[in-house]
Amino acid sequence: MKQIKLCLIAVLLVTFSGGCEPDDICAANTPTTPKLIIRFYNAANPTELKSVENLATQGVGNELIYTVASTDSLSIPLQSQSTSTSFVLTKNFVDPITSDTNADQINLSYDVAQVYISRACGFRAQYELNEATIETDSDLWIQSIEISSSLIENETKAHVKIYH
Amino acid sequence: MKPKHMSKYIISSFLLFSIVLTFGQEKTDEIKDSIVYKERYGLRVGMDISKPIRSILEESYTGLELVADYRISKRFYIAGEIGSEEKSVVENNLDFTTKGTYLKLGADYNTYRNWAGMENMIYVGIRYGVSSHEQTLNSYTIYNTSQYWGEPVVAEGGENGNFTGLKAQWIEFQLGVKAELLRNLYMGVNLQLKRLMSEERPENFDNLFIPGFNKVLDDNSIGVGLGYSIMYQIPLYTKRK
Repeated sequence: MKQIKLCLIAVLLVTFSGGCEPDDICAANTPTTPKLIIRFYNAANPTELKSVENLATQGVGNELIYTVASTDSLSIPLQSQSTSTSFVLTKNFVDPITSDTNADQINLSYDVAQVYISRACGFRAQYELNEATIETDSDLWIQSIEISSSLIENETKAHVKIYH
Repeated sequence: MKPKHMSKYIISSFLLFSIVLTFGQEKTDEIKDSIVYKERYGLRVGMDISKPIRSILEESYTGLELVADYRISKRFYIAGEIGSEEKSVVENNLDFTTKGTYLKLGADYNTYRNWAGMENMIYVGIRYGVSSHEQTLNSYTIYNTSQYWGEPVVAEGGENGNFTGLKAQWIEFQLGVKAELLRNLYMGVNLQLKRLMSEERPENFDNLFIPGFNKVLDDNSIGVGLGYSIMYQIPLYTKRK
Protein backbone atom coordinates (compact mmCIF):
# COMPACT_ATOMS: atom_id res chain seq x y z
CA MET A 1 0.00 0.00 0.00
CA LYS A 2 2.78 2.37 0.97
CA GLN A 3 4.58 1.40 -2.23
CA ILE A 4 1.52 2.25 -4.31
CA LYS A 5 1.05 5.63 -2.67
CA LEU A 6 4.68 6.48 -3.38
CA CYS A 7 4.15 5.56 -7.02
CA LEU A 8 1.10 7.83 -7.25
CA ILE A 9 3.11 10.75 -5.91
CA ALA A 10 6.04 10.03 -8.22
CA VAL A 11 3.84 9.96 -11.32
CA LEU A 12 2.17 13.23 -10.31
CA LEU A 13 5.53 14.95 -9.89
CA VAL A 14 6.68 13.77 -13.32
CA THR A 15 3.49 15.15 -14.85
CA PHE A 16 3.77 18.61 -13.45
CA SER A 17 7.48 18.96 -14.15
CA GLY A 18 6.97 17.86 -17.78
CA GLY A 19 4.25 20.40 -18.46
CA CYS A 20 6.37 22.61 -20.72
CA GLU A 21 7.09 21.50 -24.24
CA PRO A 22 9.15 23.37 -26.82
CA ASP A 23 7.35 24.95 -29.76
CA ASP A 24 7.80 23.35 -33.13
CA ILE A 25 10.15 25.44 -35.22
CA CYS A 26 10.13 25.48 -38.99
CA ALA A 27 13.55 24.27 -40.15
CA ALA A 28 15.46 26.84 -42.22
CA ASN A 29 16.08 24.42 -45.10
CA THR A 30 12.37 23.61 -45.58
CA PRO A 31 11.32 24.41 -49.16
CA THR A 32 8.90 27.29 -48.78
CA THR A 33 7.08 29.52 -51.25
CA PRO A 34 9.28 29.65 -54.39
CA LYS A 35 10.26 32.86 -56.16
CA LEU A 36 9.90 33.39 -59.89
CA ILE A 37 13.25 33.07 -61.66
CA ILE A 38 13.95 35.25 -64.70
CA ARG A 39 17.00 34.89 -66.92
CA PHE A 40 18.08 37.58 -69.36
CA TYR A 41 19.13 36.61 -72.89
CA ASN A 42 20.60 38.48 -75.82
CA ALA A 43 17.81 39.31 -78.29
CA ALA A 44 20.31 39.15 -81.17
CA ASN A 45 21.60 35.75 -80.11
CA PRO A 46 18.77 33.98 -78.19
CA THR A 47 20.95 31.24 -76.68
CA GLU A 48 23.39 33.67 -75.09
CA LEU A 49 22.82 35.06 -71.59
CA LYS A 50 23.13 38.84 -71.43
CA SER A 51 23.53 40.77 -68.24
CA VAL A 52 21.49 43.93 -67.47
CA GLU A 53 23.48 46.85 -66.02
CA ASN A 54 22.21 48.36 -62.77
CA LEU A 55 18.84 46.66 -62.95
CA ALA A 56 16.40 47.96 -60.36
CA THR A 57 13.38 45.77 -59.61
CA GLN A 58 10.28 47.14 -57.95
CA GLY A 59 6.86 45.60 -57.48
CA VAL A 60 3.93 47.65 -58.76
CA GLY A 61 2.00 48.76 -55.68
CA ASN A 62 5.00 48.42 -53.40
CA GLU A 63 6.96 51.50 -52.30
CA LEU A 64 10.16 49.59 -51.75
CA ILE A 65 12.71 48.70 -54.40
CA TYR A 66 13.25 44.96 -54.25
CA THR A 67 16.82 44.77 -55.62
CA VAL A 68 19.38 46.71 -57.61
CA ALA A 69 22.05 44.62 -59.32
CA SER A 70 23.93 44.05 -62.56
CA THR A 71 22.91 40.54 -63.39
CA ASP A 72 21.60 38.07 -65.98
CA SER A 73 19.46 36.27 -63.40
CA LEU A 74 16.70 37.62 -61.20
CA SER A 75 14.40 35.98 -58.69
CA ILE A 76 11.27 37.86 -57.64
CA PRO A 77 8.50 37.06 -55.14
CA LEU A 78 4.94 36.79 -56.45
CA GLN A 79 1.92 37.81 -54.39
CA SER A 80 0.33 34.64 -53.04
CA GLN A 81 -2.95 36.38 -52.18
CA SER A 82 -3.48 37.57 -55.75
CA THR A 83 -3.45 35.97 -59.21
CA SER A 84 -1.28 38.63 -60.82
CA THR A 85 1.85 40.56 -59.96
CA SER A 86 3.59 43.31 -61.93
CA PHE A 87 7.18 44.43 -61.62
CA VAL A 88 8.94 47.46 -63.04
CA LEU A 89 12.41 46.55 -64.29
CA THR A 90 14.60 49.63 -64.65
CA LYS A 91 17.78 49.41 -66.68
CA ASN A 92 20.80 51.65 -65.91
CA PHE A 93 19.26 52.71 -62.63
CA VAL A 94 21.42 55.48 -61.16
CA ASP A 95 20.80 58.45 -58.94
CA PRO A 96 20.29 61.05 -60.39
CA ILE A 97 18.44 59.49 -63.30
CA THR A 98 20.20 59.84 -66.67
CA SER A 99 18.88 59.56 -70.23
CA ASP A 100 20.03 55.90 -70.30
CA THR A 101 17.64 54.96 -67.50
CA ASN A 102 14.73 53.00 -68.90
CA ALA A 103 11.82 51.50 -66.95
CA ASP A 104 9.71 48.67 -68.42
CA GLN A 105 6.84 46.90 -66.71
CA ILE A 106 6.24 43.16 -66.89
CA ASN A 107 2.90 41.61 -65.93
CA LEU A 108 2.60 38.05 -64.70
CA SER A 109 -0.68 36.21 -64.24
CA TYR A 110 -0.91 32.84 -62.57
CA ASP A 111 -2.97 30.39 -60.54
CA VAL A 112 -2.05 29.82 -56.91
CA ALA A 113 -2.14 26.50 -55.07
CA GLN A 114 -1.67 26.49 -51.32
CA VAL A 115 0.15 23.35 -50.25
CA TYR A 116 0.42 22.07 -46.66
CA ILE A 117 4.01 21.66 -45.42
CA SER A 118 3.93 20.85 -41.71
CA ARG A 119 2.67 21.94 -38.29
CA ALA A 120 5.69 24.18 -37.80
CA CYS A 121 5.83 25.71 -41.29
CA GLY A 122 2.15 25.86 -42.17
CA PHE A 123 1.40 26.25 -45.87
CA ARG A 124 3.35 27.37 -48.90
CA ALA A 125 2.23 28.74 -52.23
CA GLN A 126 2.93 27.15 -55.57
CA TYR A 127 2.18 28.85 -58.88
CA GLU A 128 1.15 27.91 -62.38
CA LEU A 129 2.08 30.73 -64.78
CA ASN A 130 -0.60 31.59 -67.33
CA GLU A 131 0.78 34.64 -69.04
CA ALA A 132 3.81 36.93 -69.04
CA THR A 133 3.47 40.23 -70.92
CA ILE A 134 5.31 43.52 -71.35
CA GLU A 135 3.35 46.69 -70.64
CA THR A 136 3.48 48.80 -73.82
CA ASP A 137 5.41 52.08 -73.64
CA SER A 138 7.19 54.36 -76.10
CA ASP A 139 10.69 53.18 -75.30
CA LEU A 140 11.02 49.48 -74.50
CA TRP A 141 14.40 47.95 -73.67
CA ILE A 142 12.81 44.49 -73.30
CA GLN A 143 12.14 43.04 -76.74
CA SER A 144 10.26 39.90 -75.74
CA ILE A 145 9.27 37.77 -72.78
CA GLU A 146 8.67 34.04 -72.79
CA ILE A 147 7.55 31.44 -70.24
CA SER A 148 10.06 28.58 -70.22
CA SER A 149 8.58 26.62 -67.33
CA SER A 150 5.04 27.40 -66.26
CA LEU A 151 4.99 25.41 -63.00
CA ILE A 152 6.71 27.30 -60.18
CA GLU A 153 7.27 24.82 -57.38
CA ASN A 154 10.97 25.27 -56.75
CA GLU A 155 13.83 27.63 -57.52
CA THR A 156 16.10 25.23 -59.37
CA LYS A 157 15.48 26.46 -62.91
CA ALA A 158 14.35 29.56 -64.84
CA HIS A 159 10.62 30.08 -65.27
CA VAL A 160 10.72 33.13 -67.54
CA LYS A 161 13.17 34.28 -70.23
CA ILE A 162 13.56 37.94 -71.15
CA TYR A 163 15.27 38.93 -74.40
CA HIS A 164 16.86 42.38 -74.70
CA MET B 1 34.66 -46.66 17.07
CA LYS B 2 34.53 -49.30 14.39
CA PRO B 3 32.89 -48.57 11.04
CA LYS B 4 30.07 -50.98 11.78
CA HIS B 5 29.13 -49.07 14.92
CA MET B 6 29.47 -45.79 13.14
CA SER B 7 26.84 -46.62 10.49
CA LYS B 8 24.50 -47.81 13.26
CA TYR B 9 24.94 -44.47 14.93
CA ILE B 10 24.24 -42.52 11.74
CA ILE B 11 21.10 -44.49 10.89
CA SER B 12 19.69 -44.17 14.39
CA SER B 13 20.34 -40.45 14.53
CA PHE B 14 18.53 -40.05 11.16
CA LEU B 15 15.56 -41.91 12.58
CA LEU B 16 15.53 -39.72 15.63
CA PHE B 17 15.64 -36.56 13.49
CA SER B 18 12.77 -37.70 11.34
CA ILE B 19 10.62 -38.25 14.42
CA VAL B 20 11.40 -34.75 15.65
CA LEU B 21 10.55 -33.33 12.21
CA THR B 22 7.23 -35.16 12.14
CA PHE B 23 6.36 -33.75 15.51
CA GLY B 24 7.20 -30.28 14.34
CA GLN B 25 4.95 -30.71 11.30
CA GLU B 26 1.97 -31.67 13.38
CA LYS B 27 2.50 -28.85 15.76
CA THR B 28 2.27 -26.07 13.10
CA ASP B 29 -0.75 -27.69 11.50
CA GLU B 30 -2.61 -27.35 14.74
CA ILE B 31 -2.43 -23.50 14.69
CA LYS B 32 -5.16 -22.28 12.33
CA ASP B 33 -5.89 -18.82 11.04
CA SER B 34 -8.92 -17.42 12.79
CA ILE B 35 -9.42 -14.41 10.39
CA VAL B 36 -11.25 -14.99 7.11
CA TYR B 37 -10.18 -12.70 4.26
CA LYS B 38 -12.74 -12.00 1.63
CA GLU B 39 -11.81 -11.00 -1.89
CA ARG B 40 -14.10 -8.43 -3.41
CA TYR B 41 -13.82 -7.81 -7.09
CA GLY B 42 -15.81 -7.24 -10.22
CA LEU B 43 -16.33 -4.22 -12.38
CA ARG B 44 -14.63 -0.91 -11.67
CA VAL B 45 -16.06 2.16 -13.36
CA GLY B 46 -15.02 5.75 -13.10
CA MET B 47 -13.79 8.82 -14.89
CA ASP B 48 -10.55 10.55 -15.69
CA ILE B 49 -10.72 13.59 -13.42
CA SER B 50 -7.76 15.36 -15.06
CA LYS B 51 -9.87 16.11 -18.14
CA PRO B 52 -12.69 18.07 -16.49
CA ILE B 53 -10.10 19.92 -14.39
CA ARG B 54 -8.14 20.78 -17.54
CA SER B 55 -11.41 21.87 -19.20
CA ILE B 56 -11.88 24.46 -16.46
CA LEU B 57 -8.28 25.66 -16.33
CA GLU B 58 -7.51 25.67 -20.05
CA GLU B 59 -9.72 27.76 -22.31
CA SER B 60 -8.71 25.93 -25.46
CA TYR B 61 -9.56 22.44 -24.14
CA THR B 62 -12.73 20.48 -23.33
CA GLY B 63 -12.64 16.79 -22.53
CA LEU B 64 -14.31 13.93 -20.72
CA GLU B 65 -13.28 10.30 -20.33
CA LEU B 66 -14.97 7.32 -18.73
CA VAL B 67 -12.81 4.40 -17.63
CA ALA B 68 -13.59 0.83 -16.65
CA ASP B 69 -11.90 -2.46 -15.88
CA TYR B 70 -13.16 -5.97 -15.18
CA ARG B 71 -11.17 -8.70 -13.46
CA ILE B 72 -11.08 -11.91 -15.46
CA SER B 73 -8.36 -13.73 -13.53
CA LYS B 74 -6.19 -13.06 -10.54
CA ARG B 75 -3.79 -10.95 -12.61
CA PHE B 76 -5.62 -10.03 -15.80
CA TYR B 77 -8.20 -7.33 -16.27
CA ILE B 78 -10.12 -6.31 -19.36
CA ALA B 79 -9.83 -2.53 -19.46
CA GLY B 80 -10.99 0.34 -21.59
CA GLU B 81 -11.61 4.04 -21.89
CA ILE B 82 -14.15 6.03 -23.88
CA GLY B 83 -13.95 9.77 -24.24
CA SER B 84 -14.53 12.96 -26.10
CA GLU B 85 -12.15 15.88 -26.57
CA GLU B 86 -12.03 19.28 -28.23
CA LYS B 87 -8.78 21.20 -28.52
CA SER B 88 -7.74 24.43 -30.20
CA VAL B 89 -4.10 25.04 -31.00
CA VAL B 90 -2.42 28.25 -32.13
CA GLU B 91 0.94 27.68 -33.79
CA ASN B 92 3.19 30.28 -35.42
CA ASN B 93 1.84 29.59 -38.88
CA LEU B 94 -1.55 28.04 -38.27
CA ASP B 95 -4.52 27.91 -35.95
CA PHE B 96 -6.81 24.88 -35.80
CA THR B 97 -9.46 23.12 -33.71
CA THR B 98 -9.93 19.35 -33.45
CA LYS B 99 -12.91 17.64 -31.88
CA GLY B 100 -14.07 14.07 -31.72
CA THR B 101 -14.53 10.90 -29.76
CA TYR B 102 -12.34 7.89 -29.07
CA LEU B 103 -12.45 4.37 -27.70
CA LYS B 104 -9.59 2.39 -26.21
CA LEU B 105 -9.88 -1.32 -25.42
CA GLY B 106 -7.34 -3.76 -24.04
CA ALA B 107 -6.06 -5.48 -20.96
CA ASP B 108 -4.10 -4.75 -17.81
CA TYR B 109 -1.69 -7.13 -16.12
CA ASN B 110 -1.26 -6.63 -12.39
CA THR B 111 2.33 -7.06 -11.25
CA TYR B 112 1.56 -6.21 -7.64
CA ARG B 113 1.17 -9.06 -5.13
CA ASN B 114 -1.69 -7.93 -2.94
CA TRP B 115 -2.18 -8.77 0.66
CA ALA B 116 -5.21 -10.95 1.07
CA GLY B 117 -8.44 -9.08 0.47
CA MET B 118 -6.93 -6.21 -1.51
CA GLU B 119 -7.33 -5.32 -5.16
CA ASN B 120 -4.58 -2.76 -5.61
CA MET B 121 -2.62 -2.69 -8.82
CA ILE B 122 0.75 -1.74 -10.22
CA TYR B 123 0.09 -2.64 -13.80
CA VAL B 124 1.17 -2.67 -17.38
CA GLY B 125 -1.56 -2.36 -19.94
CA ILE B 126 -2.01 -2.47 -23.67
CA ARG B 127 -4.78 -0.78 -25.63
CA TYR B 128 -6.02 -0.57 -29.16
CA GLY B 129 -7.34 2.93 -29.73
CA VAL B 130 -9.62 4.34 -32.41
CA SER B 131 -10.83 7.87 -32.92
CA SER B 132 -13.43 9.54 -35.07
CA HIS B 133 -12.89 13.26 -35.33
CA GLU B 134 -13.05 16.43 -37.37
CA GLN B 135 -10.59 19.27 -37.73
CA THR B 136 -11.15 22.90 -38.56
CA LEU B 137 -8.39 25.07 -39.95
CA ASN B 138 -9.24 28.50 -38.58
CA SER B 139 -6.43 30.56 -40.11
CA TYR B 140 -2.92 30.20 -41.45
CA THR B 141 -0.12 32.10 -43.11
CA ILE B 142 1.67 31.25 -46.32
CA TYR B 143 5.22 30.55 -45.25
CA ASN B 144 7.45 32.74 -47.35
CA THR B 145 11.07 33.58 -46.64
CA SER B 146 10.66 36.78 -48.67
CA GLN B 147 8.52 39.31 -46.85
CA TYR B 148 8.61 41.87 -49.71
CA TRP B 149 4.83 41.68 -50.15
CA GLY B 150 4.19 41.11 -46.42
CA GLU B 151 2.19 37.88 -46.52
CA PRO B 152 -1.04 38.38 -44.54
CA VAL B 153 -2.79 35.79 -42.41
CA VAL B 154 -5.36 33.84 -44.42
CA ALA B 155 -8.39 34.10 -42.16
CA GLU B 156 -11.03 32.94 -44.62
CA GLY B 157 -11.20 31.13 -47.92
CA GLY B 158 -8.17 29.33 -49.25
CA GLU B 159 -7.59 26.08 -47.44
CA ASN B 160 -9.60 27.19 -44.41
CA GLY B 161 -12.49 25.03 -43.45
CA ASN B 162 -13.81 21.97 -41.77
CA PHE B 163 -12.36 18.55 -42.50
CA THR B 164 -14.78 15.85 -41.38
CA GLY B 165 -14.77 12.05 -41.27
CA LEU B 166 -11.20 11.77 -40.01
CA LYS B 167 -10.06 8.60 -38.27
CA ALA B 168 -7.01 7.27 -36.49
CA GLN B 169 -5.93 3.98 -34.97
CA TRP B 170 -3.15 3.42 -32.53
CA ILE B 171 -1.55 0.98 -30.10
CA GLU B 172 -1.02 2.25 -26.58
CA PHE B 173 1.08 1.04 -23.66
CA GLN B 174 0.17 2.02 -20.15
CA LEU B 175 2.09 1.93 -16.93
CA GLY B 176 0.13 2.77 -13.82
CA VAL B 177 -1.16 2.18 -10.36
CA LYS B 178 -4.64 1.84 -8.86
CA ALA B 179 -5.08 2.01 -5.12
CA GLU B 180 -8.11 1.62 -2.89
CA LEU B 181 -8.48 4.82 -0.87
CA LEU B 182 -11.85 4.13 0.71
CA ARG B 183 -13.87 0.93 0.64
CA ASN B 184 -14.53 0.22 -3.08
CA LEU B 185 -13.20 3.64 -4.13
CA TYR B 186 -10.00 3.59 -6.16
CA MET B 187 -7.66 6.25 -7.43
CA GLY B 188 -5.45 5.55 -10.41
CA VAL B 189 -2.64 7.25 -12.26
CA ASN B 190 -1.09 6.06 -15.49
CA LEU B 191 1.38 7.09 -18.15
CA GLN B 192 0.56 6.34 -21.76
CA LEU B 193 2.87 5.79 -24.69
CA LYS B 194 1.14 5.55 -28.05
CA ARG B 195 2.13 4.68 -31.57
CA LEU B 196 -0.04 5.73 -34.47
CA MET B 197 -0.81 2.79 -36.76
CA SER B 198 -3.04 4.32 -39.41
CA GLU B 199 -4.93 7.53 -39.97
CA GLU B 200 -7.28 9.17 -42.41
CA ARG B 201 -5.78 12.57 -43.07
CA PRO B 202 -7.54 15.67 -44.23
CA GLU B 203 -6.84 16.59 -47.86
CA ASN B 204 -3.87 18.97 -48.11
CA PHE B 205 -3.62 19.17 -44.32
CA ASP B 206 -2.74 16.80 -41.47
CA ASN B 207 -4.07 15.32 -38.24
CA LEU B 208 -2.26 17.59 -35.79
CA PHE B 209 -4.25 16.51 -32.75
CA ILE B 210 -6.19 13.28 -32.37
CA PRO B 211 -8.71 12.82 -29.54
CA GLY B 212 -7.35 10.16 -27.16
CA PHE B 213 -3.95 10.22 -28.86
CA ASN B 214 -3.09 13.87 -28.16
CA LYS B 215 -0.56 15.97 -30.07
CA VAL B 216 0.77 14.48 -33.30
CA LEU B 217 4.32 15.51 -34.08
CA ASP B 218 5.63 16.37 -37.56
CA ASP B 219 8.49 13.92 -37.67
CA ASN B 220 7.28 10.81 -35.83
CA SER B 221 4.15 8.86 -34.93
CA ILE B 222 4.64 8.69 -31.17
CA GLY B 223 2.12 10.15 -28.77
CA VAL B 224 2.13 10.48 -24.99
CA GLY B 225 -0.58 10.89 -22.41
CA LEU B 226 -1.54 10.74 -18.80
CA GLY B 227 -4.59 9.39 -17.03
CA TYR B 228 -5.71 10.30 -13.55
CA SER B 229 -8.85 8.46 -12.58
CA ILE B 230 -11.28 7.94 -9.74
CA MET B 231 -13.09 4.58 -9.93
CA TYR B 232 -15.82 2.86 -8.01
CA GLN B 233 -15.69 -0.91 -7.67
CA ILE B 234 -18.99 -2.69 -8.04
CA PRO B 235 -18.28 -5.82 -5.97
CA LEU B 236 -19.93 -8.39 -8.20
CA TYR B 237 -18.02 -11.22 -6.60
CA THR B 238 -17.11 -11.87 -2.98
CA LYS B 239 -14.86 -14.84 -2.54
CA ARG B 240 -13.46 -16.42 0.60
CA LYS B 241 -9.75 -16.71 0.32
